[in-house]
Amino acid sequence: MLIPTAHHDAFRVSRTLDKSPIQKAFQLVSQGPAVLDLTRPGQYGPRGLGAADCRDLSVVFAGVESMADDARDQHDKDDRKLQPTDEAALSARFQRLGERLGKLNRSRASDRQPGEPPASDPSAIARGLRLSVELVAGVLVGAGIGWLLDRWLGISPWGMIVFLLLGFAAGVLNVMRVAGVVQPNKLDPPGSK
Amino acid sequence: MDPIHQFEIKNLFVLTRIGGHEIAFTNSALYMVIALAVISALMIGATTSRALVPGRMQSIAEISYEFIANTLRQSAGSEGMKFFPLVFTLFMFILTVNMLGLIPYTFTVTSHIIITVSLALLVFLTVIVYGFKKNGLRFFKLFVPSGIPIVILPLVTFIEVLSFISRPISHSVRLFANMLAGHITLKVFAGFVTMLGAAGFFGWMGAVLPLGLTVALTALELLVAFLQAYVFAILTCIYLNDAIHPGH
Repeated sequence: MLIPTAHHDAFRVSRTLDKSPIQKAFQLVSQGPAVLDLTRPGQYGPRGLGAADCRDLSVVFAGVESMADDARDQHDKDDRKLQPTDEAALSARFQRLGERLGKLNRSRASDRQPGEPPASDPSAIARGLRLSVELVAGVLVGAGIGWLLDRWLGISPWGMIVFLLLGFAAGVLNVMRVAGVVQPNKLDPPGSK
Repeated sequence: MDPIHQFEIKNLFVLTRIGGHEIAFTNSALYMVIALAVISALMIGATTSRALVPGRMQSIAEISYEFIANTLRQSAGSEGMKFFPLVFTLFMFILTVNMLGLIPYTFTVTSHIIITVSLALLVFLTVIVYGFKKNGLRFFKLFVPSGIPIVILPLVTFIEVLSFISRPISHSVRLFANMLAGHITLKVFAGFVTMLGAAGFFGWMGAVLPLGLTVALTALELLVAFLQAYVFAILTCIYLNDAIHPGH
């Protein structure tokens, strides 16, 4: 019987702690008055109007109101006319909505133009990765051919000089093709087909 | 500790002897066979069910097919689809081999230039052979740009030829250099961790930095492994386009 006693003691301690005025006030605020159980709007309404579905309560209420207004307007149009103040408030709300939508659309449009490829386009990264090696490859080919010609024809150093320069030009051409500055070579010029 | 040690070729067993040279089954060959088995298992295993609503494996196979098919169609047109088996095989092989190499204690096949050069030469010779077969001698017009004054035409033609010859070099060196450099960097930074750890408690504290960098570099290498396979495939498509489309 030791353990239940200890448990009981602990429970009592916690109860006495609960009795502090700050805790009580907090309890009252957080739980609300116990008598009025209608703490949330639409608690007993249809499911679609549940508070969990719509966080912004003003939207729910405005929507319900305007729907009701519409229905009443259609039902007995002659009896009741829209108050001028209501109309002004509605138009003001429309204007504010339009402004907010426009701002949203503009901020989206500044992100990306429709024709542009996305920023994380793999082909763009691939093109960037290609650039570095293309120049080196051209120079290497020029140097290689120059060295071979020097050895075979015995014209050292002229083969190396000329072909290194030509290879450099070929490398620059490669890089410009990758970067899109020069159009890729075609077998036939356009229009000769 | 030696960062180059991981690229060493080891003979696993000797297959045969040709003219005094042993033809051995190396660790490189072993990892190529493993890559082949992985690709075959993925592709055959994924397509056996042929579900209308694809499962996970089937989705991977379909996504890789769509990816390469779209790349090929964009670069070489739908006529280039006859080279789809070549491009798809190259892409899947390089991708799988790169990814296998990222697993610790494995061997990276593409970090040897002999492999990448042979792959690049395969593409290069395919372009030349198919280009001449399809276009005949008109294939030479690839080197003669139109609208160039006759005075500098020989020079420009020569530069074009050099540019064409440099293709397999840039094609192979890019893949080889990226994989080699990436793995050496990973090894060096991972080596720092154990070296600092030998210095005692404060060494281990300091080792957090290279360890974090190693993790970050592994992620980068994962990206590079995919991108290099993609670059190799897209360049293959671009080069094939020269052979396929005379007028574009």
